[in-house]
Order: sequence, then structure tokens, then C-alpha cells
Amino acid sequence: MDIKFETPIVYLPDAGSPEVDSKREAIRIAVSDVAFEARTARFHMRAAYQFPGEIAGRYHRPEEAMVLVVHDIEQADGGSIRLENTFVWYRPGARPEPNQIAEPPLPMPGRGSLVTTSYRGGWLDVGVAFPCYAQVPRYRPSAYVYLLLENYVSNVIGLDLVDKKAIEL
Amino acid sequence: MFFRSVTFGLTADTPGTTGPGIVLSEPGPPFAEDDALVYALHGTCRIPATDVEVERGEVLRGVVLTVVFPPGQVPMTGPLVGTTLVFPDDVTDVGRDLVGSFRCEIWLPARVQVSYVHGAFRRYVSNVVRLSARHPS
Repeated sequence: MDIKFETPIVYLPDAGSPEVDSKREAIRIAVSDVAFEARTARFHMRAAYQFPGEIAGRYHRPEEAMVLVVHDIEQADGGSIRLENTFVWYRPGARPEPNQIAEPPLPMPGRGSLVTTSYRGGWLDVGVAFPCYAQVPRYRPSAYVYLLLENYVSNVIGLDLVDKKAIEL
Repeated sequence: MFFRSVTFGLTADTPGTTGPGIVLSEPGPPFAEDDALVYALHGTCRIPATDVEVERGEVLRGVVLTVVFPPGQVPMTGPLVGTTLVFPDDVTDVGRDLVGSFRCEIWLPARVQVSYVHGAFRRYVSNVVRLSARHPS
């Protein structure tokens, strides 16, 4: 499944941005403006993230390190895309690559307590499109969306493409 | 990267579950195949029977796996089952739940030293397991 960004990623909050409870979760997403026409499903995703400093410190740009996963049980397929702002072209060598500075220590920490003394966070705001070849999806919701960094997973949001609405799960 | 050799049913490495969700077990060291490393991944997907709308094979057919290459966060997602047929008795009844267990092989080029893999089924996201050419154990 080929997922595309339809708008540049905006790193600023607005009225629809979710809030992160930083002691319990690292990433929270909210979805609005679900549309489905001409075999393309579209939605607008707003996300807020707040990682403990030692996790965000493993990346030069933690806002570009997250991965968006969309999977569709109607088509039994899924796709993923890195949240990288490809609308902006940077001169080669202008930014440090690769984005990861260090690997997480082993064994990988679980998704336990996120309580720490320093946090690093921000917001994301982007329009996303993915193909859906079903005329009328049988499942409601039929597609699911979440964000991920290492083993920190956001809340999962379902997309009902018949009623064209997002369902909090 | 691709998923292949999908088989269903319990094996000695199948992770156990007590509640709804999807679980993957930590894979052992890979075996080498030409220029590639192949990891055997075992998992279990369990959901309440009342959540199945169309037919029970969707417990396995709806699973997607995502592999993330950590240095550049390059992700790849694909369906577990793909074109493999799923029959109703590939999914077992456990109490009021339906449980599908699977084994698959993940084929990665040998130059990919480390990857993270996780699975998702509807609202459930599995644990993240680390595939490494140099296994810590």
C-alpha cells in the first residue's frame, strides 16, 4: 500500500491538536476530515509527542524519526511511511544523517513508566492519503492508523470510510 | 525484505496469550541463505469471537507486519498472509475467543544488521521485537 503525504508536515499546534499525558504515553494522535472518493481515502492527522530526554536524545530529529502505519483489513494490506518532510529539499550533507545517533540499550525497555525529569516533545500536523480499492468497505472501521518510534506506540484510531469519520479506540 | 513460508498452528516457540491482542516471540539467531538472513518469527493473534464480522479466517488474514530499519527509520509493511489460503480450522476456539497462531520467515538482506518488527491486527499492536544478525544470547 502506497501512503502519501498530501500536505507539508507542520510542526505547530492548533485547536485540534491532542494532548499527551506524558507519564502514561509518549505519542497521541487525533484524526479528522476523513474522506473517501475515487479509490483514495484521505485523512488529516494531528499528533503530539513527548519522549523522555534519553529516548529523544538518540535521534538528531525525533520529529522525523516516527513512522506512520496504516493497515486496512478490508484489503488485507498495510503500508507505512516515515514522517519526513519531503516537501522541503535540503542540500546533501546539510543535515546529519542517519537520523539515529545511538541504538537503544539492550534488552529493549518495555512500554512501562515514562516518568523522568526531562522530556522533549512537539506537534505534527499532516494530511495523508492511501489507496482503497473497495467500493464499499464491509468493515467499520476498516482502516487503522497509529504512530510508532522504537517500541513506543501511539493510540490506534480507526477510520470508518462509509460514514467518513474517525473512531477513537 | 519479504515474509514467506507462512504456516499456521501451534509450535514450541508460539507465544501464549491470556487476553485479546497480538503477541510476537523473540526470534532466535537467523540462518543464512545466499546473501540474506532469514529469521523465523512466531506469533499469536487472539480476539473475542464476537468481534469477527465476516468469517473467522480474518483473525489471521488481517495481521500486518511492519519492519523498521532503525538508523534511518525506513519502514516496510506487508500482510502476513498475502495470497496464502486461510481455512476456518486454522483458527481455534479458546473459550469465547478465537486464536490464530502463525510462524513465518522474514527474509532480509545480510547488510541489514538490525531491524525492529511488530505486528498489528485492528486496534491491537504487538510488542516490538528486535531482529539482529548478532543475537545477544
